[in-house]
Amino acid sequence: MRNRWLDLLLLPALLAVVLLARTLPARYGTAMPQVPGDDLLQLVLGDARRQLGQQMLAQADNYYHGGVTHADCTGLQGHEHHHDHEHHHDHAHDHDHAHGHDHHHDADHHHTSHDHGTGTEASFTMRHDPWRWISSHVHAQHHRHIAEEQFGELLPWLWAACRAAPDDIQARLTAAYVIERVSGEAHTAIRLLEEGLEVVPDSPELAFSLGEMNLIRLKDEATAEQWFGQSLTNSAPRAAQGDEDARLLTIRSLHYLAVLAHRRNDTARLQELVRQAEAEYPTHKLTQAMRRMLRPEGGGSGSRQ
Amino acid sequence: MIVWLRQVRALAALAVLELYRRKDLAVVLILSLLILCPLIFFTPFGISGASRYVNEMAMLLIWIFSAVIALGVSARLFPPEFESRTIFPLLAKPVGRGTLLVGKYLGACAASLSALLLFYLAYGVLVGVRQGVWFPVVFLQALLLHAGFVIVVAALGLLGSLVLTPSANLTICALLVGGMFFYGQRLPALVAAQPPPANAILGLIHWIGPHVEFFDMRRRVVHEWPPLPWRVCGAVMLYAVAYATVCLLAARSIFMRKKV
Amino acid sequence: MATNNVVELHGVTRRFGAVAAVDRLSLEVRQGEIMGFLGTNGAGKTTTIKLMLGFTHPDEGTVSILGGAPERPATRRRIGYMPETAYYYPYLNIHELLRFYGGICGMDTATIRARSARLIGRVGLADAGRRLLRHYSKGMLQRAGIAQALLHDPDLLILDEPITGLDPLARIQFRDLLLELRGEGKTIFFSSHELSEAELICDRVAILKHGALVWCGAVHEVAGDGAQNLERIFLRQLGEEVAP
Repeated sequence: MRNRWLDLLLLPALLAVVLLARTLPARYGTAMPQVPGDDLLQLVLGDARRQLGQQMLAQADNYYHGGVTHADCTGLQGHEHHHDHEHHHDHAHDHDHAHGHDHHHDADHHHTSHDHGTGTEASFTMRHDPWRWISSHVHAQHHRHIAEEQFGELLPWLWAACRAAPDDIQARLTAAYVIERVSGEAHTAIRLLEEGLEVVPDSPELAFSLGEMNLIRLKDEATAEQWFGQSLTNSAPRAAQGDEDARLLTIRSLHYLAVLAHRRNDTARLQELVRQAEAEYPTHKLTQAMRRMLRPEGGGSGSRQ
Repeated sequence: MIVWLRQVRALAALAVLELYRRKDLAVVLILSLLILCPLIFFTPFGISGASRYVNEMAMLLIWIFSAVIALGVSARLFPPEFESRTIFPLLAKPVGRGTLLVGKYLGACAASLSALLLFYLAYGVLVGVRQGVWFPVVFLQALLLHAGFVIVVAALGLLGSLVLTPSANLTICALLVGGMFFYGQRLPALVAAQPPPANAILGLIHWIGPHVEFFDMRRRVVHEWPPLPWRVCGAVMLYAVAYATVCLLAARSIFMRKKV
Repeated sequence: MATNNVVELHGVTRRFGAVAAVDRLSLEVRQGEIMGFLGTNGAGKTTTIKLMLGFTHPDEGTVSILGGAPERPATRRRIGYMPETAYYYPYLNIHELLRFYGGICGMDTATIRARSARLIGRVGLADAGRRLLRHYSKGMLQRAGIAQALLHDPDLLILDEPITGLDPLARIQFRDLLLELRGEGKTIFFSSHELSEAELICDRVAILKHGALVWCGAVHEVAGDGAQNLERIFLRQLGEEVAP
């Protein structure tokens, strides 16, 4: 009899708990003990989610290199390092975007993050290592990249990186690039970048990338021009402080805007842009290209840098 | 000889039977399925086709669970016998302590390796169905080397079971195996970079610790690297056998002197 | 050694620190007899059994089992031991348990199978089927213990508290079993607290007090003088008051 009463009490007790769980936060709002977070990840991880995002991005980079890490390529005497320069140039552009780094494209381009360690071996090698032979043969690998048709393998890690740290610009740029290359269409990538701008509205990199996506993939010049304009605006404060990456983005944005103005024969706008470029970057090759657009006979290069 | 073989077989069969009767393996398999199924059907950014991350997670789970099973089985070889006093009817039989040790060890290996085989079979079928690649050479090498890992870990667990309680044994072995697995490759660099006496301690660990990272072929399997040269495989397996032998000899020495 | 002594202990002493668990014990067990080994808790019965089985070594004196040292495999092949604590591998059933112990004794599969079937019926576990030992009652575990002790057809049975935990019917069955085994020529040495059972089945009884043998004699010499005779002897040897 007593057990039956207790059983009957269970359901009302459960309902009471649910009711309280729903009404207490609404009733007391910010007076509740816990701090409301954006989502579950933020509540659980807090600031550590940034680190987690970095790890996920590093894992994507690892996958891009076919699972070969920096440590596998260095510190090994007598181990062959295959670094085919032909291969290197072919993949240079892909590599930059896959890394999300904005390297200069020049003949001396190196994988600066992957020093093949000819100079560092002596400092970090243990003397009398009895397991050297086994270790060097089991773990070491040639430096490699995955083929383009395998780029999709990076997506889960990039998704995780974006999810873990929504404000990680690098993750979004890389993810957008890979999405576009894998799926062949840009809308998903654009949506990803736009979501990033909602989180980090003053990011010039995201705006610039949106401009390129709209221009090159969707051929939407009007939208692209808006994004390049925003990139210019966003990069200005950092460029003024001497940030080299921001300065580079500024000149590139100016160049794109100039190309678009040139295409619609907006000479006034073009001149304004050239003036702006000459004021900040008088000797830059993109400024020179913009100047050539002003000449009636040649015009500048309207192509992508 | 025949009598010895029968004795060893009886002891080994006991460990295998207990592993499957305890349902540890079933729990592990179910847990793996629960973790992997959502990953298999996951489409990041709405784009399907990625498979390596599933393979990587599956391999990681195989390694974690195989280590747990090998340590769990080997750590339970002797303490329950002493606690429940089943050691007495066992020692009252015409079986030597050395035979007891060998039989128990082989039982732990057999139990753990049977579980490992199941894991790899499931993994091989998963990859075969999804990617159309069926049991490549690198996969078979990975299985072989993973077996080497299991025999080393089982030997360590057995040695610990003679001197430590099960929980202490599991903790210490897990720390040792896990530490070497994830950081063993970096030990030489750490030794070179540290001042004394830290470098001496790390150097000692590097010399005598179980280098279980030698057996780790996950990246080769997941990223489709070429197979290892067979002489390297042979050297690694030789290391496994040698290390396990040293542990067993130490265990024998302890067990022969152990009072019941 | 006298030709019909299966067990011979001469002046055996075993100390644990300052305490002599077994103190200059001299005892013989004859071929084909049932000897009861009685004493209070802590008297040294289990230690004596451990010495007989070679689990521990005497500090003084000698132990001879079936004419040899107890550690020798050849000796152990002829000994069947049932421990005091009835606990066996919980994830096996009785068939698997006997198959395990049979393998340990070096028996072939056919022999194990034949003997197991016979023994399981003989000890009354035929109904247990494939039930795991972890679901056995204490009495059933005791029977499983007897079965594993008898599996390899030993000449000498050493049973430590074999009657503990058995219900009255099981005790009767166990008593009959021991008498049957004696009839087959086996020698049985068992320790017990159950004086009444010892009086019913033992040929001779030894009483241990503080590790020393205080009385050893044939039961039939004192039986017939009332049901309490062994109890009187026991209490007298322990220095306890005996009711008239």
